[in-house]
Amino acid sequence: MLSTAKYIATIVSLTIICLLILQYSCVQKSKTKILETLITDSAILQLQTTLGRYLFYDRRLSVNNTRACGTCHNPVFAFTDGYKQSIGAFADLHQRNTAAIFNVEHSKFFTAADSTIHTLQQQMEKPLFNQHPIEMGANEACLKKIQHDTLYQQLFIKLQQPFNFNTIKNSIASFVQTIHSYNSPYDAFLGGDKNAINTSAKQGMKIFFSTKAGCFNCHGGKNFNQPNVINNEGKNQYFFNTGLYNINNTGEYPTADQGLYALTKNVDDMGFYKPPTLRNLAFTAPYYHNGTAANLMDVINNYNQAGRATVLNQKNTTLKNKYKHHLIKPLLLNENQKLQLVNFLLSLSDSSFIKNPTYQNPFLKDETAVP
Amino acid sequence: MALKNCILKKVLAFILFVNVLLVSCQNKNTSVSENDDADIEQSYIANVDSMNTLSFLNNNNTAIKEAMLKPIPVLLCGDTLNEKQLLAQSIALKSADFTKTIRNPLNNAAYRNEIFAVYPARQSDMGNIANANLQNCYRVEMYNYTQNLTTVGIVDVQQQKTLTTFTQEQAQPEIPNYLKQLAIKIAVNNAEVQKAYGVKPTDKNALMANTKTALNRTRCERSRHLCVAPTFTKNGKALWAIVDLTDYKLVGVRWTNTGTTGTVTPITERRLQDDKITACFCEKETFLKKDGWQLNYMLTSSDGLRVAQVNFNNTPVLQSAKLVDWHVSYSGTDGFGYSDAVGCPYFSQAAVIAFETPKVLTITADNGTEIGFALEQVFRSELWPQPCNYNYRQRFEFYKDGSFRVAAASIGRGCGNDGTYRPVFRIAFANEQNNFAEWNGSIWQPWQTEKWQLQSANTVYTAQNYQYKINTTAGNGYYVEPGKGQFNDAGRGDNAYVYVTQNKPLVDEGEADLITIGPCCNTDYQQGPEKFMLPTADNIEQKKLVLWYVAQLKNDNTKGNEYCWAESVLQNGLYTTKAYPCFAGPKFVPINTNK
Repeated sequence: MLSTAKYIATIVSLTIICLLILQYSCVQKSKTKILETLITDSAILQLQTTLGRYLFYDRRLSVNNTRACGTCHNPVFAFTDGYKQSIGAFADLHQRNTAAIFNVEHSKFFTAADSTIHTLQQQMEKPLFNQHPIEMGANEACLKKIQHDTLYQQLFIKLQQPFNFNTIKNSIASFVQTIHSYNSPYDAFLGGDKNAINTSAKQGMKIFFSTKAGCFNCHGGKNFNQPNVINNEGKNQYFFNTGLYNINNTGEYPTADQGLYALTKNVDDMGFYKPPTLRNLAFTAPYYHNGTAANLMDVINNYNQAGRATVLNQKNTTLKNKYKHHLIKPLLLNENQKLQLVNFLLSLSDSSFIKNPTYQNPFLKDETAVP
Repeated sequence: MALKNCILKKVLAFILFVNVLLVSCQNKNTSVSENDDADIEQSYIANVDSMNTLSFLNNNNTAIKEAMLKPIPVLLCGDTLNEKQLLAQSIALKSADFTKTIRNPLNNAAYRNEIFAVYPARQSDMGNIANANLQNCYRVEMYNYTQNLTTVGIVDVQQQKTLTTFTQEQAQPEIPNYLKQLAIKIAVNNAEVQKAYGVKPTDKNALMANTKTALNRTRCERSRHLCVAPTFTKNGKALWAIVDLTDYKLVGVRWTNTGTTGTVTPITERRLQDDKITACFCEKETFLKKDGWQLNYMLTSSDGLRVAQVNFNNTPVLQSAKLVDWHVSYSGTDGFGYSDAVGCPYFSQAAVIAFETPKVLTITADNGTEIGFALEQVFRSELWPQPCNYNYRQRFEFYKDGSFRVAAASIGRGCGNDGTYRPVFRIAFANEQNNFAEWNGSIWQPWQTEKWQLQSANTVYTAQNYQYKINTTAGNGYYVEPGKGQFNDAGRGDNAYVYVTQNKPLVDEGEADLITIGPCCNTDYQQGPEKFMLPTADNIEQKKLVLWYVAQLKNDNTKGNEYCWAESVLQNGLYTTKAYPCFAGPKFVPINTNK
């Protein structure tokens, strides 16, 4: 009897031990599998990013082989192009000044005045396929131009993804999401290097973050583009009128571009644009949604007088635009203070970023040349 | 089975990992700079046999190949030359100095060389040459396609000798007429151009075909090959057919937006006074004495209006000052535009030529008091203000208080409404022992060696707007006041690159007429003057100095904000031209009057 009990106990113990071993083994296997999946995901992401980088710079995606995403979003200019308004494949003017694209993971909106675009893929629809005006003019024929490219064939096979515009957009987005710029003198200053920015810039920083100037209200956050403003309805406000125009004293902006109003048709949205990032301004002139400020001092002057007194608007009625946000009020900065503010803004520019080799055009030769 | 699957998965993961590594390595390789001279030379030599094979190019291809087999492998000038010019060409080719770059020194292999021009020499070409009769001298320009360098020889046909030679690397002479015609032919016969333009353009439609250009990510990038862009305008846009004259190939087409306002063809009122301009101002210097100033001025072949031996109250101020180039860029990304030169009408392929004789104008203060005078020269294309026609104004201002200004303006209209103009000034000081310093906000910080600096938004100036000073040990000299929009001439600031180089007594670094020294479209400091700081930056303390000043001006056709622009407007029933000049250039203020 005892031996039977011992036997049963031994069997149970052994079973428990076996179960424990099995459980341990399963956990280990599961851990290995998770790790494997992670490695695979990381590799896939890297492949997708690599593919996206090539596609970003491939001019064959335009109707006449002259424009790529990287044509207007050139790393030399912090992914802008130096034009007031860019021109498309057939030299038609784009509606707006090219937006800088970096640190996009923090972006809530992806165009200057469209509250419905929340992803890079949505944003890409316009430059790729817009017809009025034609920007890149991408079409099915463009796909045919690149589908036999050996590199693309290999990458698409490895990714096991279909060759179409959706995967192209995903890949380009994947690359764009890797573009980061957090190595400015100001970042070094925040990191503890108190000499990274000069005395003038430090004074400018004080002005920027002062309640009197209040620049930080709209240009907040890590990228200086996150507003922290509550509107009359108690909601966060993301788009603002800064008093750049006031046609015939009606508060209107030029019909070519009236900001958020063009989308909502709500007059209260007239001339509303989202605050752009203030990083890398040294490389992204000209400024404003339509590139009408040639330099930073022009912009500071406008804020200093609470709106723009344009040549066309000699009576300075822009300063009284009824849709202008109440935070836009005269700053009363003297010349030295304005220069200090400029120096602070320039200290947000990251010169290592524009030279980062991982962001540059990977094509060694002219990709549009017929082999 | 599970084990197999496991192994298979691991193998696949490894393969994927290796692939990622390979792709990563490939990326690293593809990021390597294209600017590898050896590669360029090799690729060019390989290209001789693969040049464009269009039938109208057969003769050129044959001539090139034959020339390269000759003892002196130089293709002779393709434009018609008179007897003296032919003689000058042959004298130059007998000069060891002139021909020292025509072969590879390592293996004696022939480079591809070609005589581009033989011009009657001007005073401005003579540099330090003394005891030569200008009437007997010719300027022979040779281009080495393989190495992308230009050799210029000044030849005296009576003495039958080459008086001096200088070579400039990464530089190209002005385009001879026959090559211009060839470029147009390549462009209009190209299917890509015809497709883009809608119809086959005619030769007559081509504008700016003799002005050098560039295009990124092609062999034309940063003007490493000799490239031009016959340009065809249509419906407010300009189609650029970028032709590589090294390979005789079209390398790309690009569009620019020229704007649609005020493009009425001007009533032809041809006022080109070529003969008078040439005889009076291109072949000899004119002496001018006014308001305490004494100077000589003349029109150069391609460096605009030059003033020389400038004195104020009998004290030497400038050895010379001139406008070397206009770099006009229409795309920071694609890097295309024009390297423009301004100069005399005849014997020069400068695209924009002197339109009138130089004018001496009175400068008055707001209260009407005469305070000095300006010496002004207009250079323009005949059909300005039509798109792809240019108008430049060069101006030297001399004031009674001893201050002076070296300035120039673009008055559009050009080939695009979002271009950047970069005039390149060369200002050589007379004094033998100068020092140069910049204002750093509290003291004058001396420059010890040759260097460059960009005027930017955070540049600091003295209360009087001075950024630099150039002085002698005795304390005399000048403050340098760059344009910031303060000169009451509608200028909006120069955003200039400033370079200071040593004016070496035995080396001509631009005193004689310079060919275009920089490519059209570099967006950085590499505008040309930096070449004179190579291979090492020389000491500039107590030295004779040259100040190079490259302003950067963005044009604008926005209503109410026009700049570097021109258009035709209807006034009282007639079309008149409305001009929006963008003046740039530094003012020099005597130190001893500002204590």
